[in-house]
Amino acid sequence: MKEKVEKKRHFANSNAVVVCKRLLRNKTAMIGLIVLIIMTVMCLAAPLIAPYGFDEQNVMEKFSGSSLNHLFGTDNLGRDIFSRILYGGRLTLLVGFGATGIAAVIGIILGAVAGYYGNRIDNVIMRILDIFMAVPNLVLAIALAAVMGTGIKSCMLAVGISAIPTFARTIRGSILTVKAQEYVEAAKSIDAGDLRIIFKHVFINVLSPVIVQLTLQIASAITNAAALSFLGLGIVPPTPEWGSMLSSARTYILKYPMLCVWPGISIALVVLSLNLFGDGLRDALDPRLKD
Amino acid sequence: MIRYIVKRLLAMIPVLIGVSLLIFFLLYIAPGDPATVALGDSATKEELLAWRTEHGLEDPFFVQYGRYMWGIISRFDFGNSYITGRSVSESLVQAFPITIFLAFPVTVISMIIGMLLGILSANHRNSWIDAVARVGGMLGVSIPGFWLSLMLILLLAVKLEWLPVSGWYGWEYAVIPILSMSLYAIAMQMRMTRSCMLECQRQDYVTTARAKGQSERKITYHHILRNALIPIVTSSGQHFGFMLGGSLVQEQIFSIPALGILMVTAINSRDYPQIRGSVLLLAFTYSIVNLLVDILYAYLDPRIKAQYVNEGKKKHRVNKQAEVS
Repeated sequence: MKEKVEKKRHFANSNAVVVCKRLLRNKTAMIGLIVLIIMTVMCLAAPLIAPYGFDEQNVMEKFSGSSLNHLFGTDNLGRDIFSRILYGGRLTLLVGFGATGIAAVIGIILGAVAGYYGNRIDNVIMRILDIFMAVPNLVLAIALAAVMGTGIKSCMLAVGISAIPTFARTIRGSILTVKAQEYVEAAKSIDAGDLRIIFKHVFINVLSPVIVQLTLQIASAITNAAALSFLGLGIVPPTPEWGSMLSSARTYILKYPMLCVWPGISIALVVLSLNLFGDGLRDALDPRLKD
Repeated sequence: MIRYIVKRLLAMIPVLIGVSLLIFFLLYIAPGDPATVALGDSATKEELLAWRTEHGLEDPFFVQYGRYMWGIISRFDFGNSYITGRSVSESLVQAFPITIFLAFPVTVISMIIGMLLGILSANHRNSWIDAVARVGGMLGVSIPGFWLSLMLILLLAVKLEWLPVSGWYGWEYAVIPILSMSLYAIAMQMRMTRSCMLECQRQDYVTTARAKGQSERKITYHHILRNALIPIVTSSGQHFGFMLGGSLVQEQIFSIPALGILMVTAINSRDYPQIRGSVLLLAFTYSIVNLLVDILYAYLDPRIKAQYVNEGKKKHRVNKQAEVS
């Protein structure tokens, strides 16, 4: 009985619970999370809630304004913009999350290996990353997209690869500080293997900067992917993606400005909610930084 | 200090060689044949092969790369465009100043305004000024630049008719792109400054300064800001990189004949020398700016300066001792 109570108390004081509680109390972060969840669910459920197909054309009704039939109006081919935004959101979110996933996995491994082993391995990895860092982020993504061509996969890879160095640098920096701690030395002294030390002792303790960066990185990946599509180097029409929708709407901006407004607002809203949530997460994980 | 600068300059060389190797390799493995784009679909196999041989594309990778690098080092020659036949370095010299003309004012404007707003917001924490600055900052970093530009065109050029929509015939054509990029950059700088200022306000030396009766003004500008400047300055190099990438997109929106249009056109027509030249030039600029930032950083942070000066002295002393013995 006593043991049970103690376990419960232990659970209530665990770091994760404390962080979650702090996060729940942060109103702006919660608004961000709720908006993000609503938008994600709506996009995922696009086939169920979209009133029209994403490529359903109705030339008779082209450039119609907002109405009950077409919530956000229609575009130059008479396609329903609301439906296209919903379907496009799936790709935008997929590319944002996918690219960040790629960057995180590779970046974390490289950063962890470099930070933990140090010396020559560190030198080699960091010099190679220096090369990638020497090219501005978006320029690197543009160059990679140029090589891989257009399409969802290459857009994801281009944005993802260009974000690897940022992750690797963060991880490496935090691991260097954690590595010097006593508990790592203790683990070493009981002859724990490298992998076990990295994952069980070091990695756990550098998780919080990683999580924060992950959220903020998704936001910037979405912006970068949209920028690539906007330039015609990412996802190209007729596939609905917010950046490419914006790019094709640009032709009609003088006569039908609303065509440009909807995809832009969608990008801004997703990025804003991710940033709000990311900021809140940072405050919750590191209350010292909270103002 | 000069030793530090020289050392950093030397360290740039392998990185830039790495970048050139990277971009060369990427384009080498890229699918698609520049010959078919340059000659059109009607070209025969022999014509394509002849074109490829003429442009050295049939040679092994390192031969091609070596020839390219030798051209750059010996005569500053980035090759000729596959499509127009024009010298790449010539078109870069023409386009590049315009890109800098867009990116540089933005960096300066955002540094100044962003820092002032950040200081103001941190000093009046939890007041309405702070609230406005925080909401503005959040919106500023979240709204994608290319969309903001479109909206600014609608407002300033179409509705109010104050400024031209697009093109490049005078300074007024640069206003909307610079404004649009600045809003983002100011927001970023403001957020950065604010959090650095708040971080430094908590330090012990602030308490010490207050305890000895220093005026609040002096504490803010001498003790807090001086220390907060270090991370702010470090990040400004990165900001410039953002601005370089951002201006590529802006140029596309406003049809400004600069590096962005050059690059995107080159990518669409598989004009390898033009792509290579543009990326290398951007990487070079970015590295130089980061170097300048690092030098400034060393000036701002006496710890780093001292580290370097002492190291020099120590070596000197060791040498002298060696001479004596």
